[in-house]
Amino acid sequence: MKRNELLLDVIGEVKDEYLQEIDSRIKRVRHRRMWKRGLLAACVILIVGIAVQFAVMFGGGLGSRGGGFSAEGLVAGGYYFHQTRDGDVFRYTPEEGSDRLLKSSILDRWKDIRYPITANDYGFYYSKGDWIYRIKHGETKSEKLYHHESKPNYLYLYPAGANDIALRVSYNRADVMTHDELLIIDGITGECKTVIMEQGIPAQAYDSLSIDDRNFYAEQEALLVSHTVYADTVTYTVGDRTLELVYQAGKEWYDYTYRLTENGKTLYNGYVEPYNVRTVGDSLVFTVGRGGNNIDKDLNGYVIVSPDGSNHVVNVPSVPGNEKFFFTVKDMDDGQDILAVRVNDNEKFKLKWDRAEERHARDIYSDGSYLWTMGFDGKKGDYLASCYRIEYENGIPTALTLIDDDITDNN
Amino acid sequence: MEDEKIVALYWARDERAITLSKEKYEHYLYTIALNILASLQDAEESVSDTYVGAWNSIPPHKPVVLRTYLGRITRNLSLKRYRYWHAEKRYGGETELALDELSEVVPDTQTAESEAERRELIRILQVFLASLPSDQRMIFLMRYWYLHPVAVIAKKLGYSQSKVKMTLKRTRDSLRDLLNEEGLL
Repeated sequence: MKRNELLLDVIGEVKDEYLQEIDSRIKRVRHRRMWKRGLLAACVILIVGIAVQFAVMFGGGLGSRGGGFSAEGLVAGGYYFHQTRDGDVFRYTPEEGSDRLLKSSILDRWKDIRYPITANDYGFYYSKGDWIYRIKHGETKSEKLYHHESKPNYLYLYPAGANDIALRVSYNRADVMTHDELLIIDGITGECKTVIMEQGIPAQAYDSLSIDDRNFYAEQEALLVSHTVYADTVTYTVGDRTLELVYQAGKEWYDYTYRLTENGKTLYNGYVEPYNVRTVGDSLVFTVGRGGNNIDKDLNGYVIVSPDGSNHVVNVPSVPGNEKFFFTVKDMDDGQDILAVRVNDNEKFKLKWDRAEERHARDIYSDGSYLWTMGFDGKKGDYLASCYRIEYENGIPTALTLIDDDITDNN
Repeated sequence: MEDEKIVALYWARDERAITLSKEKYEHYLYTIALNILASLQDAEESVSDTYVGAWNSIPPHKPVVLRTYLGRITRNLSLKRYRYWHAEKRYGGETELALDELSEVVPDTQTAESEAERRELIRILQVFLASLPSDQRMIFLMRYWYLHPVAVIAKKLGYSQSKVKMTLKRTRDSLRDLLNEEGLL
């Protein structure tokens, strides 16, 4: 045996404790390494968890449901726009069955704000900060449309004909309304076309009031009335027809109403709202107002003015569909019926309804070709929107065919 | 199962002792054998012979740490196998490298291998190892007891390979100096 072989051999005779020392050291190193890896994995899991939670809380897509409590549905341009409870806005295209995130509120979610939105034939509109933004139909890019003076306390958007929108803003100081205005904005150019109502109360007028004064509210009302200015007329056009809404003083300051006229002739024996004017086909749909002499009446209805010179009134509580049919939902003992209301004569037609589950439709929306229902789904524990195609026979709506049980599945 | 119970089975001449030893330490024993022999077939025979060796030596032995007891048998059997085959074929494994490295400590010359010289070498080695810091001792034994490659030692202990190589060089130099002082060179 060589000497180096002998040395290697005798090294085998070392004490057990030295070998155990190595074993325990290796275990310690391995344990430390595993601990580090575990810590790293925990960090990754934590980060992913936070990201997922963030997405669920604030993000579009993950956990963001298209139905959502008080989600508003808007039908315009062949699309169905709906806003989630988180504020995300989706645009659903029924032909494609796609639901596209149009406006994410992920960066503003912490403010717990849902954007005021509306839509018309030209595009979709939303308000954020001091600006009204527009997204043209078929596009996804937001464009600034209109800037208002300062951040209002309340802001609402409504459709106002084919291409315009109505903007209502309120500026409050404490609990006292100090300024309120309602404007018609050109939805294409951003130009303010009409100021329907303006109510600028000088600050010193309020400063002279004391909230402890028992006449405070009466004096406040008097101030509101004396400082409120209404537009005498608001103009809309339908084809070659020019419609003028003529201001009628109501019983209360907020009771502003307009009479619908054409060439000085009243078209409807009642009052209509100067905003919330929608389109069905080439016709304009005015909402019957509750102001003026109608203030105490439980009115629901629409005045449909068509370019061919015809005018129709739908007095059944319903939602606009197309120029021939509006739609309504009726609670029955064994569920709900959906009825088509013929614009010509208000005759109702019950539709065979391929109903999604046993979901109770809280609201319906339609464009005459499709009908969307939004209601609470007990199984999924959320408000969901379904889309149906309206089937016609001999020009009469006969059935609803379910094409999408939950449109948010397509997000 | 605890080592104590496995050893008790050896003492009771219960063949389950071998099965349990295999289950618990086969991977460990294969590592030692493969480090020395660099041949799976030879390592397999060494490990297999280890169980026979344990069966034959327990009793009378009653190892406190079964793991190192079995590992020691595997090491000895593997080194024997290495020497047996070394004349005919080169393994190219860690043993040759380790022997080359140890030839820096003691000359690569034939020795009569008297029992007295062996015992003296063991004594000096024990003194030498006891004098080493723990980390240095571990690196030395992982290299020359387990025949682990430098890369494996570095990974298992969490050191860089250069540190392991440098530590081994210094340890070998120290051992050579001690052996020189003791007149064994």
